[in-house]
Amino acid sequence: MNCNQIEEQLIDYLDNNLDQKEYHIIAAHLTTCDNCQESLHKLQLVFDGIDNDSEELPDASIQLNFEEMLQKEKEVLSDSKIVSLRKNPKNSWKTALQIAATVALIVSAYFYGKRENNESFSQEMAILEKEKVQLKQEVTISLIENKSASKRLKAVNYAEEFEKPGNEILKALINKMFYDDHINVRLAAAEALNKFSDLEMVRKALIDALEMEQDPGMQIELIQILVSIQEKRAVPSMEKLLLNEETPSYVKDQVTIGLPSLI
Amino acid sequence: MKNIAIAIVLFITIGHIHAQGNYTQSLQGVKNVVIGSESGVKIKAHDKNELLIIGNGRKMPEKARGLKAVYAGGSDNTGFGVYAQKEGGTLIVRNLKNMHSKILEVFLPKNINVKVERSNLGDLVVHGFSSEIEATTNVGDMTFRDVTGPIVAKTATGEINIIFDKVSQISPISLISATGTIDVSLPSGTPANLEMKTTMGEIFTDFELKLPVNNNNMKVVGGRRTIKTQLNNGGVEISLRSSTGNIYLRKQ
Repeated sequence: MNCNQIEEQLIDYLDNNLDQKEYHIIAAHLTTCDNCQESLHKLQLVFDGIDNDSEELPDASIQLNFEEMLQKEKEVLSDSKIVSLRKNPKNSWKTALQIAATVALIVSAYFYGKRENNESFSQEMAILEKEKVQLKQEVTISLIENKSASKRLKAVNYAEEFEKPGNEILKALINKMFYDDHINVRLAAAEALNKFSDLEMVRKALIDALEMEQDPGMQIELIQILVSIQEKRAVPSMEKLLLNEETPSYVKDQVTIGLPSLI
Repeated sequence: MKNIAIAIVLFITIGHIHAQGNYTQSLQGVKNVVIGSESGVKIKAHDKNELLIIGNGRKMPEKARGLKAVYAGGSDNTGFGVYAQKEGGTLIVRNLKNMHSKILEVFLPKNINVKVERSNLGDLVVHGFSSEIEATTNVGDMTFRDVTGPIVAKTATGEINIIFDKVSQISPISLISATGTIDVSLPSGTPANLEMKTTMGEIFTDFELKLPVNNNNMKVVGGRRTIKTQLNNGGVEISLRSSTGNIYLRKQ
């Protein structure tokens, strides 16, 4: 072993980390080599110096500061565990704008959809309405020939509800006014026809009805209708009623009240 | 066996007629009854599904023994001076006796539709039906008690008096008298579309009608014009009409 190798082992030698064989070699060498002995001596000094240096402890004030700092740090840590939902006020206008944009989008989409919907809906409604009118027309026509007088009255009431009744309905009403078994139905039909008296077909029927009518109740109703629609062509049949001895006095009264406004 | 059964039924029926002096006929499958009579008619509801004609102590003259009564109006197939015949779902009842005879008293099931035709001079009385009633008379008065309608009635000079039990909402009610008064009592909660018209008479009511008129009890609410209004938010059409008579509409 040369001096260099010895020197490398010197630390272990001092710390007694070597096996016996190496220890004896180094010990034998040290007795012969002054250089190595010097190195050992220096090392010995350094080691002694490390061993003798007292452990430096932080003074009390530092310890106190540390405790404070720890406490602060803990607080900061515990604070930061709560995730605040409140956004930074700096960005609030932006958020508001986003919300506003979203709302605007939804609202506009809703109205757009509604408009689209409305168009198809109103079309559908128109079709349904038309179907309903047709159905009502059919029901009216079939009901108006019912055996029950009350059902026939119902049909006449239905017919009166039409805005623009078809010819079929009008003919049925006129037929009822002339020929129904029950005066009640005939009167109701006459009243219903009054609503459609701007049609020539209806006016003609009303004039003819008064000409032929025997029942005083019907006569009064027809006189009132014809006077209210200012139908001058009914004047001859009214005059005839006045001249007829069989006409009840209360029917004649109606004529005398109504006639002047026609002539 | 069958003959025996028939014989027993016949025996019981004859016994029944003789015992009570009444005529009965089953109304199986019959929905409408049409009654024609020149004398007065009284129609009452009963719980059996049969026609019952009260014999009313009809006595045959002594000299008619062995003879049969014959009438101009048709054959007397009941032995009570009444013709009764089923035609499909309709029973025809015709009083063959003249207008000076006693009133015809008839019992029918309460849900059968009744139509009374040409009851000229005689009065008509109807009690307790929940079905549709149609009636026309000329001079005779009409009285309806405990009925629900629908009723379509017309009289030329008679009065119409009706007390409604409740008002059926199925189809319209129409009452017309040319010169007589019309007197109708309705349950106060009746929903209806009401139309009242009298040309020369007056209208009285204790219903609170929505009209631009002060409503005192039984006050005049109109004359010579039609009153159209709704009772209890509207319902079945009720039309009351008289040319010269008054109209009375009462709450009950």
